Order: sequence, then C-alpha cells, then structure tokens
Amino acid sequence: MTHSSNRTATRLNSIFHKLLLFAVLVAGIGQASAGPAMDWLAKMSDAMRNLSYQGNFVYIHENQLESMSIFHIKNESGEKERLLSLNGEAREVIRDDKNLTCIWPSSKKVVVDNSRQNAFSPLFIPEDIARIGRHYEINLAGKDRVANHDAVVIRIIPRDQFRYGLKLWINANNGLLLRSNLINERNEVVEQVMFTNIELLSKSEQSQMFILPEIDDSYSTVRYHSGAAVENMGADMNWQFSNLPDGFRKESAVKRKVGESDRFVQQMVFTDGLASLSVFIEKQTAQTIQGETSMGAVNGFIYLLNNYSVTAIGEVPAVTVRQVAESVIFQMP
Amino acid sequence: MSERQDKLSLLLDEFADDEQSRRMLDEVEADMNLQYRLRRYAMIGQVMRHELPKHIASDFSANVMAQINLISHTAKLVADRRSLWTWSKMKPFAGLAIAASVAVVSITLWQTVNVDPGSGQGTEQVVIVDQQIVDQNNADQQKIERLARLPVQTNVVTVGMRWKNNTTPALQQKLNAYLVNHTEYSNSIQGMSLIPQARVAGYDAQQ
Repeated sequence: MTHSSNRTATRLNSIFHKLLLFAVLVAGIGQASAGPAMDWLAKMSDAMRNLSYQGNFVYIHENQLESMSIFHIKNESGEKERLLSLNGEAREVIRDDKNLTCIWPSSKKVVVDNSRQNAFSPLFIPEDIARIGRHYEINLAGKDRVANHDAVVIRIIPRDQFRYGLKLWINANNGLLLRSNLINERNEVVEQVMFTNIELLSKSEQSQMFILPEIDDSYSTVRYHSGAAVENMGADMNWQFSNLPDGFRKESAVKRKVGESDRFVQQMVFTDGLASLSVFIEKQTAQTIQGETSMGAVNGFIYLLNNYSVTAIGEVPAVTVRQVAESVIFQMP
Repeated sequence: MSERQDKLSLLLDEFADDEQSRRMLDEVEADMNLQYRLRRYAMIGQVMRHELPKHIASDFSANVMAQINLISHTAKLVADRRSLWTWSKMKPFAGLAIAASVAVVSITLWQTVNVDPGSGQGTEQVVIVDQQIVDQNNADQQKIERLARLPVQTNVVTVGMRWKNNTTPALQQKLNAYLVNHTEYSNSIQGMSLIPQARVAGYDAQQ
C-alpha cells in the first residue's frame, strides 16, 4: 500500500470513527442524566464548540503569567480557532478542520501542519457520564462573577489519588467557560485559565474579527510533516499493561516515525473520561534515564524495560504516570 | 512554487519516491531560492517545538549547500557505479544527513556538543548520523558516512530546560515532542482544549 492510499484510508477510518461516536451520542444523550452539574459540563462543551466568540484570557502556571487571545468561529463552513499570544512575540496558532497553522510575525515564518485534534468529538458519550461519576464527585458550588459575566461554579473532586480536581466557572447564560482551576492532590491550584473578557460574535463580526496578519513574500511558508502517525501499522499489541489505575482505559494507539530517523515510537492514549495520559514506547537511546519529571501540571515518568524506554506523560498526578509506566509488560506473541 | 515546497518537504520527510528525490536534489542544486527554503525547512521542527537556535551563523547556508552538493554528487557516483544501489536505500540517509547538518536536531548530536547554555555562541560540531542506517562493510556507504561527518559551522541549539529533575537537553527535546503529540491525540474536554494548547504555545515566554 502506498503512503497516499494509507493516508486516505486513515482519514476515512477517522471520519467513520467520528460519525459512529456522534451517532452514539445523538442516540443516547436523551437517556443520560447525571445531575445539574454534569448538565452544565455538557452545556459548556457544546457552547465552546458551537458558539462563535472572542476573548482574552490569562494562563497562570508555575508562577508564570501569560495572556492570550482566542477567536472561535463556528459556521456553515466549519470550525475555526485562532489563538494569539499577547506576550512576547505575537505568536499565532490557527486551527481548522484540516490544518494547524503557526505564524511568527517578527521572524516572518508560517508553518502549516495537519490538524489532528478531534475537533468534532463529542465530550460526553453516555457511558462516559457513568464512568466519570465513578471516579469524580461533581457538584454545583455556587455562583460567581467572572469577566463581567454571571457564572455557575462546578467542582470536580477526584475520588482517589490518581487524578486532579477541577473547579470551573461557566457562563450562566450561554455556557462558555470563563475560568478553570486545575487542583492537585494537596489541594493546590497548579494551573489556571481565566478570561478577562469574552463575547459572542455576530455573523458580521466573525469575518471582521478573524483577520489574519498580512503575509507577503518576505514570509517563508512551509508545510510541515510532523512525523505522521503510521496508523495502518497499528501499535504493537505485545505491549500490555498489568496494573492500570482504576478507571483508565486505552482510547487510541498509534505508531509514528521519530523525526528524520527510521525509528518508530508507539503512543497509547489512556483516559478516565476527563483526565488523559499518553504512554510512549521506543527503543532506548544512550541518553535515556529512568525516573520522574514534571512541567507545571504535567507529570512524566520514564521507565526502562529491556531495551526500551517507556514514558508516561499527562495532566495527572505523579503517582499515576509512575504506576502506568511501571505496569508495562511485553508479552511474547 | 508551492508544489516544489511540498516536494522538498516530502524529500526531507522521506516520503518522496526515488525519482522525486533525485529530481529535487538536482533542483535544489540549481535554485538559490530552494536552497534558502531548505534551510528554513530544517528549522521547522525546531520552531514547532519552540527549540530555535538563538542565532544562526551567517555562513550557515553555504555550509549546508556544501553538504548537499557532496551528498548529491556522491549519490550520483554510486548510482552510476552500482546498479544494485538504489536511491531508496540511500534516501533515508541523505534526508537524515541533510536535516542533521542543517538543523542540528539529532539526539546523537548532544553526545558530542559541549553546550554552553548561557552563551548561545557558535561552535564547531561534528554531526553523527544514525549508525543503524549505515552498513559498515559497504565502501560506498562508508564514503557517504565520511561526508556526513564533515564539520558544520553552526550554533548550539538552545533547548529550554522546562522539565524538572535534571533531564538532559536531548531528553527535554523528546519530552517536548511527546507533550505536543499527547496534546494532539488525547481527547481532551472540548471546552478546555485551549488549556493544553496554551501550555504548548506558551513555552516561549518561559525561555
């Protein structure tokens, strides 16, 4: 099979998967109900995906504060999102159904990559609602005011030490997310996002607001192939997990090339319905070391197994990535 | 031009077939614009992972082209002499050698570089290619390997040490790439997807 036909097959498979998932959602959402707090989460997910809005927000992590602006357009031609950094260089990230485009105005670079994020995946399918309820306690926690909007506050409290908690402020009128706190096992806020203003966009405003920077001949524009996943090869099924934390299950598995080399890395994504982590398995290199690492709310653990390095990484506590990485076993076929 | 850019990109990503690869190298040799763009291409991976060098030497492009010319020339010699030697066998090597000499992103490189994180000043470095690709018993391959070992005047790539617990630059680079892939493939809450995106995009501010 050629690369071209592989990619076509992969896309068709992806489209089919999303359609199937959507059908399940449409068929089952009327039956599923898990209280008003969960209803607010579902409303937020729907609003963030289907409304057109523009806002500025601050992102706070590890004593760093960054301000960004977001434009989100949803119309008959699809979904489009533009994230603009308001600090330092005016970096822009533009994502639509097909492409992820990064623009660096000061260095006049435009980079275009394939958009892989599941832009149209529904947030909660009925089985997820039940699953989330088993591992998190989700409560309404009162009312507040953020960015001059009335907000409903939702608390998501993990039932064990394997996941973070969340506190969300959701616009009481339209369901848009206004503020989010990610809370660790010591009840400390490890990451915050807060809108300072956010407004819905009318149809006429959409085209005016989504004006891209002037890109003339002085810009270098390239299409970048970021090691596309070789999904047709599938992840090696010999890798198994003997002791996953309760509630986490494998959502997807892909195999991709490592940069320009002929080496491959396998990625397996696990989720409990809210939190997610990835496990990367590749041949060990000389520099590989074993142990834990972290970057803000993201924890990682590198575990060496025979000649392979197993790295678990995700927005979950350190104990979770460690347990997942150390539970990897290789089963002979 | 965009079609040629795509071809060039395919060449570096090793998706081009034999004929495309050969033709593109010929075109790069003859076209200053493509030479310039090749240099840009090689930086893209670093840009995407926010690992740009602080400064690129002014004679960087010339060094890169010298490498390309040598590799391309040798490829032709080998192809002429040995019909069994196919471009497809050499293609990954050529792609790697070009990319490594331009972008200096090879993990192996970090073994040989004396990094001075504070200075960002240029140093002479030796680019080592992946030994698995090269069959040491083949004289032609050894010749190409020697070419790829030519010194390249460039600058040290500065990788922000944002991951904790004393990890090496190579490991930092790998973890950055893992985080990008995790963000792209994990089925995050739709309304909250801006948070992991902000996490990735916000990296520059920490440098």
